[in-house]
Amino acid sequence: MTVIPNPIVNARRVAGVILLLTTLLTVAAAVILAALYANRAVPVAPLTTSGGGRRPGALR
Amino acid sequence: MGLIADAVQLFSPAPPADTVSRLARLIWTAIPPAVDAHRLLETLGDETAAATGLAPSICQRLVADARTAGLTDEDAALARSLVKPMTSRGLAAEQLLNVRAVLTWALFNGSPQYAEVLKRRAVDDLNAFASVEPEIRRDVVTAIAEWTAGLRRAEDHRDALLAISGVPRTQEFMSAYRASLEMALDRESPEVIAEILIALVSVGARRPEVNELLDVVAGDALSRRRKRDLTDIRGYLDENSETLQGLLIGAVDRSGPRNWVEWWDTLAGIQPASILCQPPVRSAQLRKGALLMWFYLVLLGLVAMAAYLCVVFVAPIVFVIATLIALGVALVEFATSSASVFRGATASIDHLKMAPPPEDPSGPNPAEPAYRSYYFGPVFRDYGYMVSGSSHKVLDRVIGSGGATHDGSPRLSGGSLAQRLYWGWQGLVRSSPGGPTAAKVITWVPMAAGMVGLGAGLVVACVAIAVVSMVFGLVLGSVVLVSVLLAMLLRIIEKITLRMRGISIECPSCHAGAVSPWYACPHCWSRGGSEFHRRLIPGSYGTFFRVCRCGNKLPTLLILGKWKLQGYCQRCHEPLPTKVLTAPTFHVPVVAGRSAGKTAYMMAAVARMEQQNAADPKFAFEFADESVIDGYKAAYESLARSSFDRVLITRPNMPKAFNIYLGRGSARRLLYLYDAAGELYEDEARVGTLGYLEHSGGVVIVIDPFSFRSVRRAAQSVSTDARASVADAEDVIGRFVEGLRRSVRGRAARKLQVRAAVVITKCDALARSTAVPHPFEDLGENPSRADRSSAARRWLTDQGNAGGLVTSIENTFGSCEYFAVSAINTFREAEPVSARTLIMVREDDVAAPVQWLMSGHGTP
Repeated sequence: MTVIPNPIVNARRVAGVILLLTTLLTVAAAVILAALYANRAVPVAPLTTSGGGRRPGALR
Repeated sequence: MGLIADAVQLFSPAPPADTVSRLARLIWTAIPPAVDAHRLLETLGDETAAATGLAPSICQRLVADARTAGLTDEDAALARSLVKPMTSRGLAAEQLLNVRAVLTWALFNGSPQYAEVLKRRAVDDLNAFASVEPEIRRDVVTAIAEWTAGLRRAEDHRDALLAISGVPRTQEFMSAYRASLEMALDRESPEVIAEILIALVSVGARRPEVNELLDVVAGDALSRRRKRDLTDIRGYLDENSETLQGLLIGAVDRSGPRNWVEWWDTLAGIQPASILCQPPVRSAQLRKGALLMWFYLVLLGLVAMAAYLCVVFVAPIVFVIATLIALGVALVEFATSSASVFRGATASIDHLKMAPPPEDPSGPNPAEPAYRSYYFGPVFRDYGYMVSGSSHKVLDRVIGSGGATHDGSPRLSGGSLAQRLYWGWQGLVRSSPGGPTAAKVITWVPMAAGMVGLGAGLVVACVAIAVVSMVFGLVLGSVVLVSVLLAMLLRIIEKITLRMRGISIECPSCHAGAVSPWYACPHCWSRGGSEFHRRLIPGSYGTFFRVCRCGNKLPTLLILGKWKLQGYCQRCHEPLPTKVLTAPTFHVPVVAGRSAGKTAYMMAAVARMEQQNAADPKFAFEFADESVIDGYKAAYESLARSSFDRVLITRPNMPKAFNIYLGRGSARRLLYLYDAAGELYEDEARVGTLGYLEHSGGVVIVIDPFSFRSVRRAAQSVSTDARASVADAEDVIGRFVEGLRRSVRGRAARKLQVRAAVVITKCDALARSTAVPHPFEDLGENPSRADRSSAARRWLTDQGNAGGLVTSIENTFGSCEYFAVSAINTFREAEPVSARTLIMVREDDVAAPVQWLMSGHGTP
């Protein structure tokens, strides 16, 4: 079996660590985006009645 | 038994027939059964037995035995003896028929082989034995019936039944056969029962009594069997439908339907299927059939309900679970296979193509003996390997179909998830208590949902893997780009720094400027290696460091320690000074004619500077070439002994510089002292070959005072001892100046911007002369440098008549200074005393000329 010099071994390990960090960051980004999407502000139609009538809940 | 033995003794040898006959009758009245009668006949022999006339009595005895205890093997043996021609003499026809019947019984009661022969024999015997004794006939018919019921091939069974049932008085046989059939249907395997049923059905098409057997006996017997046996019988019939159907078609002369089961169910007059599914037309059996029908209906309902529940509830759960499992397994497989690529020491690097080519001992190898930098390309090969390998493995793991993987490695045992699901489903179906069909109906939809779930999980996993791979690829690309830019930037910064500090390196051997020195890996060269790292700079072999073929890590930048490596000239491959490119260089040629004392002066100057370093560590002196240390030490010891015997004569070839580092910090310089042989200055053409002249920062012009004819003549005794140089100093200096003007830039100017230190050597000899004054003998206490220089200059013009030489030097060099030194006195503590005036003269420090030259370039 070919002996691989230590500096190359270490360089590959660094690449492996980069892959790990990339994976973790990607997963974290996906989770954050999913959370933001789930909690996005949904526009709600104003509670008004047509024809200028009384608003629901308004004091008489 | 004793009587038999005695009788046998008595009859042997043969007595008169009359005597024997009477004795035999006598014996016979006393002896019983067949076995002994048989032995008696055997003993008597055929002739004697015939003569005795015992056969009729024995036959009567045989019949009597059969009536009382039934037929036995002994009866069969006795019958065999009785049917012999001699023995059977005297037997009545009825008796002989009984004997033959016993033999037939023995035949069918034995081995049931030779079916064809026996079938014919059975038919004949059943016809012939109508008038034998009823007990014997009963045993014979029972034996034939048992033999028939034991026939295991449908064809044999059918043929036997057809043959026997066709003869008269079949009722007796059918009764016996019925009992035997009942036993066979109780005991035999499902396959044999299926064959028997086929035979019965095929015969029943022609014989109504056989149909009755089917309806009653077979129905009763099969209803006692386990349900699985009935299923197996049906399965056996299905599997062998073509062969068996041929049998039946031949038997009933009808064209067959498409398959056996249809034919079975639709056969007119017979309801064999009812035998299996709704046996006997009896009230109990009808009730049982009804119960079975309800059972199957309930079972069908349960199956339908289970199928509905599976579709509505189980299938979605299976889908979700399969999706999650596929997703998890795919991501884990991706992680493990990716990690295996970047695992480091255990992962192969052959596919990266980063290893240096093998060392070629036959000649210089143009390739660098180093591994390519992982982040200058090979990392992308690993990346591609990771993406390709992991995607294949993910597919193999989730939906692979077996065989070898894409890279030839064997698959993991257990198969893919899809295979496991399918095999598990098949196992569940096979082992289902409700039968495979019902289990298939119930579990088919969940299984399909599981398969779809696996596919969905795989798709989600592939999307995630693709996203991660793309991001990872972008990050790797950024890292590679940064590495490339950083390498370029670092190269530029180092070059600018060297230029700003004025640092360069010139080969001390070939004197060419070493723009990009080669370096040697200390680890390789210590083991006999001879390869050079030709471009040890930030680049494709590494930004900060590179990895040598031997695995040693070499810095690519001076600031990281590259200066510690041994450099080599890229032109002549000779070693460069140590600590290369750490200080500006300063080149000083020492010029003089032959035997003027250049080498002695130079060694003394170096020794003096080393002494100063020892006395004052701030002075900083360091050899830059370890190979010259031995020669230097030898010369040093010789000069210390006031001898020149070990001061080597300089050879008239291209001089190699004597390198030393002087000074500290920014004033540190790498000094090149060139000690060219005086012969080189005797020829103008050879002066032109001195390549180091163009680098000259200062010149030491060594003048032997005894080379002047006037001095040599006046101090003749001393000059001989001083090994006076015979070379004309003016000629030597003139040729050197011409060569220097051609080499140094700015030669067109009247004066060269180079300092010249004019050194009068051998002053110790001048001090010993009474005829010629010492240059400094008229100076007072503590003369200044200017006074000393003026005194030395004056001595040259006055004593040496070298006014022209002085003028020439001063007109050539931008700055001149004159010195008077003695190499030998450098190593003496006492000051020399002038022989003329008896006054102590203090000569110049032998290192002073060099230090004066260097002071013009920032070194104190």
